[in-house]
Amino acid sequence: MSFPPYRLLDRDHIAKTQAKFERLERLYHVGQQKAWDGKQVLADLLKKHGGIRIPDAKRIAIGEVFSVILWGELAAWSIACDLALMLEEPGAKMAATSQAHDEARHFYVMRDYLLELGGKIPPLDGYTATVLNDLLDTRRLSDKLLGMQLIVETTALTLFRAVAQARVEPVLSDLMPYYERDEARHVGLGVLYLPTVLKGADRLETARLRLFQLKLITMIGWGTHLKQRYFKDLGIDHAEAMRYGNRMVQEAFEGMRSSEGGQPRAVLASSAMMQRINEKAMEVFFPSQEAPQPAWQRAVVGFCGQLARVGDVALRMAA
Amino acid sequence: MRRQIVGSVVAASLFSVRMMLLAAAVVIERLGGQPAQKERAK
Repeated sequence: MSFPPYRLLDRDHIAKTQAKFERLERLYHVGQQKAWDGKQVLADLLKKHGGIRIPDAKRIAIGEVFSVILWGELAAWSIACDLALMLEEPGAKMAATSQAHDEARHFYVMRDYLLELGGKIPPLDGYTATVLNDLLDTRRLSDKLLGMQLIVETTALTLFRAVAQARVEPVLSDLMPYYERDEARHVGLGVLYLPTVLKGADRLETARLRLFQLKLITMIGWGTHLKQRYFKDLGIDHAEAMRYGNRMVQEAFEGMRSSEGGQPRAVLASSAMMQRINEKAMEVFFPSQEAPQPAWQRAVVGFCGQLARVGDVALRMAA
Repeated sequence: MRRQIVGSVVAASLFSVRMMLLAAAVVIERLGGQPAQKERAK
């Protein structure tokens, strides 16, 4: 690609693309209007709630779950910078640049919160490390957009909502809506731009992308098994959270369909069969903690927990 | 590269295990077990 791209100044080109990418450009402007002062917000919340006062079990559980978020935010920051470099349309480039600004704030606020929380913050589990490294390493725009904007961001959004609702710890729970609001815009970048990127995907590329998503979703699912007891300690009903996450993915998909008018076949969530399998899997593997479970289901969930630990060890050894 | 290969192998294995467990769960339910979700819905 030669530089500078003079077509960006061409009136016909601008007229042709502006309507199409206007909503992407708006993400940048909304991001600018809604940018919040992380230092100030955290300081105010700590003052309002008199610091962080929680039992040790909850402190450990927050460390376990939010080390994933901390390093996830750092990866998202780098990936947003990659996207800002790779995307050519100014509207999309602006949205990615705005996201990089948000992710930098998310990272430093979470780092400062965890330092304030105290205790030992554990290293990243093998599953999340694999997902984030795959997304950081890939040079493919479609992989970064699909993996980060659609899968990882919706997973993060789900967790933020669950933590806020469960009133896990007052400072953290009050912080989550700030994160949630920003992340919704980041999903928007994927929803609005992915159909353009995926339009030219042939059968082979479609199959490759579906396998790639399957790998990410599998990793995230087993990573959730690994953290199950910490979710329980935090009072988060992961069954409810999973259902919410699933709705989010469906909404993102619906948004994509309406933005382009066609069906992006490369997006795994688009398949009705996958949707049915997914719903069944959530019912079996992530049952509500409050509802009584039959013995066979308790055995299955327990077995998955053990297997999740074996997989984690294997992935950590390979890292 | 090693991480990517191991990652893919682990993902494929765990995905297969999950699908087998899921299939087994469906069979158990059909044979008379009541899944917790349906119980709660009642």
